[in-house]
Amino acid sequence: MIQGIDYAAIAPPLILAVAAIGLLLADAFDAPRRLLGLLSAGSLAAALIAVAALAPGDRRATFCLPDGLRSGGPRSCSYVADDFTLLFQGIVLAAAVVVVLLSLQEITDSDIPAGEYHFLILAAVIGALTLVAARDLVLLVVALETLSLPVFALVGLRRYDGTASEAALKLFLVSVVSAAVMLFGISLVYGATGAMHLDRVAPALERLPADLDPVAAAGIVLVLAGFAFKVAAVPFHFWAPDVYQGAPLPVAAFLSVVSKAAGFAGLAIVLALGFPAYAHIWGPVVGVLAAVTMTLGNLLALRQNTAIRLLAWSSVAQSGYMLAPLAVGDRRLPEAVAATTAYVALYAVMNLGAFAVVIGFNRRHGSVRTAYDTLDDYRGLARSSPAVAAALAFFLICLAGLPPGVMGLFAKIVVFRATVAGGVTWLAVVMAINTVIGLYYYLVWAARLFTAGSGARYDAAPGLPVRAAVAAAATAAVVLSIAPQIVLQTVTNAT
Amino acid sequence: MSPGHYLALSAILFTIGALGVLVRRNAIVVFMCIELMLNATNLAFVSFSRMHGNLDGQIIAFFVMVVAAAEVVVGLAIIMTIFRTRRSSSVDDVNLLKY
Repeated sequence: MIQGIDYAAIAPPLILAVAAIGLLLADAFDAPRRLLGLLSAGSLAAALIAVAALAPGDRRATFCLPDGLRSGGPRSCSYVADDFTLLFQGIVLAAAVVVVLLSLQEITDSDIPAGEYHFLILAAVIGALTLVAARDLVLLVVALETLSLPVFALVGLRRYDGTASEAALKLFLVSVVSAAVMLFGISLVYGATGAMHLDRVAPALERLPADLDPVAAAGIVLVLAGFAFKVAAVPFHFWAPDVYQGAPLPVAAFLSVVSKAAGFAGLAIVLALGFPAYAHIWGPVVGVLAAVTMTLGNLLALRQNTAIRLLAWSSVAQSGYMLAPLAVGDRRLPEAVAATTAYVALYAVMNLGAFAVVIGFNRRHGSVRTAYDTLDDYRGLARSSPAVAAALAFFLICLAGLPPGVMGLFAKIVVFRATVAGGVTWLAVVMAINTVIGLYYYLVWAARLFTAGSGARYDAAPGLPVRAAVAAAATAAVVLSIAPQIVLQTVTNAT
Repeated sequence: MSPGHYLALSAILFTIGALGVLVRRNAIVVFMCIELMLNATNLAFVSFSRMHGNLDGQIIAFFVMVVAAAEVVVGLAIIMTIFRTRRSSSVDDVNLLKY
């Protein structure tokens, strides 16, 4: 029996897939770099429009089990475009457009092959879009790998640079090991339940015989490990600073925003839809992971003096905050997922903004990056280019969660409230202490912008695309600081 | 042999692979150990599929093979670039980036 496919539901990844193949062909015919960049950004914008067009419609599902094989069970669709999926697809695509804008200059400066770069970015975004829509374990694994594999190549694209290939090797080994561990976990879950679709796994876990209980529990913890890598949570976090430093900076921004958002969406899908019956197992595990991740990230960020490594450790710490609400287990789980989603959305704006300014600033060193920008290089930025300095200071204050960066404060309060409401008070206390530690290094960096200059000047203009990216992120940050309830309303409606 | 024996074999293979990843120092050997872990999961999927009498496990085994092949392509290319710049494929020599 041939099944119909709902092409409207899969339009966003489909548009990108066609564009990616078109890009490869265009590159084979030596299309100019500018055209390739335009095609890449244009297709991402088209996919974003498709997501926006799908948003007001009903929940769409495709690749479902045919009636004959359903045996009275649920519908079991592999790809579902509901409000949660579309929200995350929107976040991922908007962030990807900004990353492409940030890349245009870097591609020229670092002599990166343009066609390959844009193709790999689009392929990774397709993986992210599919991951947030996946509702069965097979598609989840395939999407996760589609997201990961192109990124290894992206990190290592500066072939002449020893640090880039080293970063690629580190990312690759950690990622593949965690994928293998996750697959073993999935095999245990499958062994215990006999199902791959999440809407069949969940009821099967509820009425599991007692002797299979340890098998399923071990499987669930191993699946968590796979996602812990993707979001850079603690036992699998150590790749983050090295990879962010070695990779081209726009790729680091991609890893810390797009890849991380998709990872959190996948984690929320698996835990909330697949394994709610085992919340007593994964709840405490996630809680401990969150506490250790934010503490370690913050403590190590304190002793960094290069901008990019500070951002890397701060993004590890932010992962801890995003994980925290999920520690509530099955008590008020929808509220917790909403809190995590809201934090991811707000974090995407402020972190991309900070990355955009750092990427623009990095140009000052000329085409080959010999030294990494230390925080002291940022002294006097407020005098030489006040607008950029104001934007960076605002992003840092948002990340720290201080007024006037209301959006950061708001994100922290949402997460805090969900954690306390779920009865995990100890984690809320750890979070509060960590927020105070985080204030220190963000504010030290922000303060340096306004001190007397170090003599270095911000003379190489960052180019129109980077300035556009900074401006877009700054506008979004200001709007969300004035009206943060926009995000909360959207997220509450979607989850 | 019952499926239980295959599961035991798969657990043993996975453990050998995981130990190899932790202990060995050559990037290529580490990579081979990862492949061993992936194939151990394949064996587990296929045995569970036989126990449950449905095909889901067999299908994911095929997907894992495809993913593993794609990983080999990217992984060996990365190890090649490392080897070109360092003349060594030991993971101990990969030490430019640290705190």
